[in-house]
Amino acid sequence: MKVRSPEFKVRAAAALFEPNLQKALLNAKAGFQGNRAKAIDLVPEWQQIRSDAKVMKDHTLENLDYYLLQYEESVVANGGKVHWAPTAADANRIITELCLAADAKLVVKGKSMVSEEVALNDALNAAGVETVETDLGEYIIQLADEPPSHIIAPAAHKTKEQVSELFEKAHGGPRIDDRVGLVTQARQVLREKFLSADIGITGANLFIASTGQHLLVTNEGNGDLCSSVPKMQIVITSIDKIVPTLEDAAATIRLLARSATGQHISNYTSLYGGPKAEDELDGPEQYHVVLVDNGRSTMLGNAFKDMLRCIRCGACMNHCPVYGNVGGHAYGWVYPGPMGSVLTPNMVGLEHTLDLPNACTMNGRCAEVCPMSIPLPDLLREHRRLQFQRGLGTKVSRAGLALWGSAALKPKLYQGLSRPAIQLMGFFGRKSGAYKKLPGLSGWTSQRDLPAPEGDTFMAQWKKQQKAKNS
Amino acid sequence: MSARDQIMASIRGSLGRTAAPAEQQVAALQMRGEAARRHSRPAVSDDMMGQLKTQMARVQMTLTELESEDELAEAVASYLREHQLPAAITIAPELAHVQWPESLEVHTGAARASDLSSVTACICAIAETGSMMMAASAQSPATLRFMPDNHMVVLRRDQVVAHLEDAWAVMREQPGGISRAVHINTGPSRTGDVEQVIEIGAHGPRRMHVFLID
Repeated sequence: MKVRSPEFKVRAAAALFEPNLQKALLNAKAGFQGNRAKAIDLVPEWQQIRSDAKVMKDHTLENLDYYLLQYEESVVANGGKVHWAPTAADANRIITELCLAADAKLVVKGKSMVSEEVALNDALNAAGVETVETDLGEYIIQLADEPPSHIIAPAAHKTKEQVSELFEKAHGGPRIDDRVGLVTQARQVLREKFLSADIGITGANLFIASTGQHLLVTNEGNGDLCSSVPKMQIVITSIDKIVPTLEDAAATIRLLARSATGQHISNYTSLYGGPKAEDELDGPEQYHVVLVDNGRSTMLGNAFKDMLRCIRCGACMNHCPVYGNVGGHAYGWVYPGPMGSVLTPNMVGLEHTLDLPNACTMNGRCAEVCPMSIPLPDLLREHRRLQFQRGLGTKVSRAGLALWGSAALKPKLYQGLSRPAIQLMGFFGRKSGAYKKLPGLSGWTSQRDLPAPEGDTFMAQWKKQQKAKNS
Repeated sequence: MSARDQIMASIRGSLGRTAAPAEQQVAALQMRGEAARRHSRPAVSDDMMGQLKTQMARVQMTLTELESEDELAEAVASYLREHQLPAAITIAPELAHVQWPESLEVHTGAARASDLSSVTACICAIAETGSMMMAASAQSPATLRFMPDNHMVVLRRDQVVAHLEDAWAVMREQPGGISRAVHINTGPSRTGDVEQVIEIGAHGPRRMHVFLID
């Protein structure tokens, strides 16, 4: 998928004036935040569950090589096969080859962010294999030919009216306006696809080293139909989703369901590990897992290692004021919001994603709600530091930062410069209490007022107070 | 270098190692795996059955309590009547021993495209979440829990466990070991993908009903 992150500013600005999008965002935010809070209130053990999971995942990542090899051994013992994909292109090649070898015409897919990341559908379509997304949200955006705008609610940006329109165009009339009717129509159309598909491809929420199973959660049941009806099952997932044991998996799914949708458990929480037994009456004859690296093994050794604990619940974006205003598409790639702004530069290059780490107010809510305790604002700040270190960004911003930096490193100079400026701004702003316009800062002041300083700098006031105390 | 070796080399490079973990470390990791230690989890009420029912109701799962399995066949027939469904069921082979009434059309096997109602057993129920856990086998085809509009589950009172971890223990003790497909289903299929409003009956069953047998 084309990386459109360089257009962040333009697309974010446009999003602010998109009434349908603003309506959808407001609606989604209220639901997600409220449901999560209610669910967590019922669990006094929440913080302990959270810290256990962090310790578990850090241990897993510390021994990632061991656990991945143990996993492969377990899958083979179950009669399945593991394929290793260092890059996105490798993943697409492997899956395309599997589909062509099976002479597959139609693939039904469960929602998988890794498959979005590697742009699997494009690769399969190019090879003449039809792919149909079966998660309702994914199906809607597939019809609209758009990327997901949220990692767990891919069509969160679409209104019911827009869905009606898409369905009318794709399925033929008459137009259906009610929600139940739309869901029912999708069920009927997609049921035919499940029954005629040659292969089912899904992602995995996690996979378990000791048993060789992958765990898949859905609320619709589409993932299970993908995994049970076609003759062949392919799972695409990434190497960071591994946990050592089923007990470790339990800890993770408790956090996942509550953080994502506020459910105590997702409707369908399923463990799969291998092809059907000979005497079974249904189930796939082949079970393949494609493990994608795509830059993760490098992250394991750099400042972004903590990001590998991510379980893709979406809580960070549901609580992000920037995401809440501009939506997922503005971020310009597959993963939006705080987790996306950390991941995307690692996967597509910092030079293509200059605005993403800066589209953050550092309010810290994402880190507060992250079930895996990922210090997202710190990681975004690290991207900003790397941008400066590598000489990326505009000349003006770099010069400004360099100037500020050199002054900030000399406290006497900094205070000597800032105090008169603050006093001056305090003096002139005394009457109105705020500045509506500032020279050279119209981009900032067009959206808000700058409160006038109240007379003196913090350091000066501090000194004055200390003096008064000591005298 | 194989793709696997390539990924391993990159992982080990990032972890500051050049080879697989040393023997001592491997022994420690094996011990951790075998210990299968349970992490912190939400407390489950002493009244496990009460919590199970509360959680089931929360997700629109319905329940009929029966005194013995002898009542099952009639209860299924009456459930179908109550919901104005055709008197036809597809059952998992594990329930073939039940004396189904003549009035019911009974098919035994995997789900067919036209099936409206299915009946399966389960291996346990989880009070923590109100879930039914089922394991795929020749006796219990997986499609029965996803394709038909109405999924009925037979649960014995002594099959209720407290936590997910207790369910794993039950799963491990199944004859033949862990099944290739284990399903923890918690209520009818739903979606929130149109404007975040929950609608029941996305792809899976529109109704999930439990017959609880003493």
